[in-house]
Amino acid sequence: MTNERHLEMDELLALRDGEESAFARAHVESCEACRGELERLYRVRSELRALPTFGPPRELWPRIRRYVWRRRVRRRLSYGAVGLAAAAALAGLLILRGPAVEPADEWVAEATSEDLGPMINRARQLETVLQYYAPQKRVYDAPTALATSALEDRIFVLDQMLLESRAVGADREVLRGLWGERVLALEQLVTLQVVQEEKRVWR
Amino acid sequence: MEERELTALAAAFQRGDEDAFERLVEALTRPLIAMAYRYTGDWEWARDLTQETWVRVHDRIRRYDPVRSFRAWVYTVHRNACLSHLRRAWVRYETMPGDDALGRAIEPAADPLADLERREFHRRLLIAMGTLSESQRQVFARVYLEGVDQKEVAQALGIKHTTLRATLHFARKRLAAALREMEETP
Amino acid sequence: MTRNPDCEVFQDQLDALQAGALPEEGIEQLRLHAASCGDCAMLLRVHEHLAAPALGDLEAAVPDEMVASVWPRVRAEIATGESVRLRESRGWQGWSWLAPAVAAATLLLFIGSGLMYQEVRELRRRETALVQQVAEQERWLAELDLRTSTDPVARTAGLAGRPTWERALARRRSVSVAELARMLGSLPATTTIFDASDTEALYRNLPSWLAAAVENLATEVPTGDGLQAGELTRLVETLGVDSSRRISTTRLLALAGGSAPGFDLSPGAL
Repeated sequence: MTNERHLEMDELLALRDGEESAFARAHVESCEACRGELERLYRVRSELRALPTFGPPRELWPRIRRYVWRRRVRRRLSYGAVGLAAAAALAGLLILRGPAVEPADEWVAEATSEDLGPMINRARQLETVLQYYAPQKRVYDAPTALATSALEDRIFVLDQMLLESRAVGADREVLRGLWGERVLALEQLVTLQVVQEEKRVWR
Repeated sequence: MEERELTALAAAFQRGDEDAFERLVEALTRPLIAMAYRYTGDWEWARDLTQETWVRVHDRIRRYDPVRSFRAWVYTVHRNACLSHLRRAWVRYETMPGDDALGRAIEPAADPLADLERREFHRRLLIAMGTLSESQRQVFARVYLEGVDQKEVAQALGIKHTTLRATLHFARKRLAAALREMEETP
Repeated sequence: MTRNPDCEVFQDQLDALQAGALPEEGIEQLRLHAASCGDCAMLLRVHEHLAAPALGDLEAAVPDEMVASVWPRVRAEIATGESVRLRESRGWQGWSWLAPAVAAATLLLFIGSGLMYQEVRELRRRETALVQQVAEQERWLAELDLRTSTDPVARTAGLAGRPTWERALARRRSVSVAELARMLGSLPATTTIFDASDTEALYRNLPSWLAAAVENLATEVPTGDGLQAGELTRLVETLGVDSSRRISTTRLLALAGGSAPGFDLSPGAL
């Protein structure tokens, strides 16, 4: 079989995700080393599957918390004094849905929505994990560095598209699609970091 | 109409000048219909979608940032409307494009068989686009359906050309695979 | 991903062709490759399908009446909130299958939401498990760091150059007495934890409830050379502090860095 070279990290990731080339598929069947590496990727992935990623700008989280709190307070008030609740809700509406839609308000609305909220939160969690694994720039081997930068590029594209989608008030499906991709890319990035960390620890 | 003129009209419309809106509609409707035709392959749908886009523009003009190109903004709104329409079509597996009587009136097909084949391929292409990820679809639509230069697309998105090419590369690969699969199992 | 170099060249050429910058011989090469590669042949077909008619030609082909008809419709739709769209209205007439489809969709939605609820619960469960896993891994890494004290790569922010056990501690918010004992136990018994002056301060500032116990120990443990890991382990054992009690690592690190005025061992602090 073709054994001139081993598979690179991005090829292995593609294999794992079912997007492999014919060469990669053929190679992995005949090469024990690459198969082992692939199996490890599967394992790491299954462990990390349920982890979350990145979200609104960091400085917005206090606002989101405040919003959730306000919503809770509003709900609580409604049990007691209906008039007060209405006033609070009105105040909330004025703040959150004022005449001009502020981008920050939109962030808050997205991060607390039922469909996007979990994804955004998950993204944020994954980012936290990434920060933990890469407290500073580490030195990678070439394939890992390549795959890492490709993933970071992909995340950047998605960020730009999310910005653009917000600027035109794109359909919800678009936002859901983009956020989903973002979570996936971050997941892959975390996987890379974990594999790298394992290598470092056992070296 | 000049880019600067369009942007000035948009700013006026943002301040509540409805006449400016009318002039924008007059200036950009033609290219928007042509663009929607590239998506749908159907003139009537193209007109409906253009109409929908203008209503969206009217509702969302506050979101427009006058520092940026109005044309680019409207095209993005329009692209979203067109892709949404296709998404609805993918969901219900409608045979697209439809029976385009108006299209035939505009441009009678010289070779009906070739015309049928072309329509069938377009339908498959649109279904195949449904298998792309959102970001791949957005990039593919701009470069291929709208025929925008790759460098311009990259610039509009604020990304490097190489990054755009990477996304396009995966999009093309997946699209080719989906189309070939459809060819094998019609 | 396509790894065949021919396919990569093909895609570059296709880009050039689209930009109108491919010479004749390039087009010839393109077709030659497409003849032997299914994926690339398909891409060429897509390209040819979409290349003609050019968008400019299409624009010219849009009938004037169609362009003119858009504004009155838009104006009407904005004014009344009702849409006059030919395709859409025509589309709805023939949809006799709509009612059963809606019924089926509702049923599916009902079943689906049940399944989704299950899935969400499952996801939550997995997420909790994962957070635990990460915490576990964190602990494990910290302990591993402790044993491989010569590793030059592991530089936790701001603690470069400090002893490894400090870095290990810095990754945690607090440690239990039992964990601390285990960490101390894994160090060479002669590792200096507190130097002489720290130890002096430590002994001087002990609360009275500990004084008696420590006095005994002090006669056994010479403090002139500070406190070593082995000695500290014995100290902790002798004091008989509840092993599940947690100590803030900030407090511990401040002490080790010599900046703390004393080791606060009052019951409240532990």
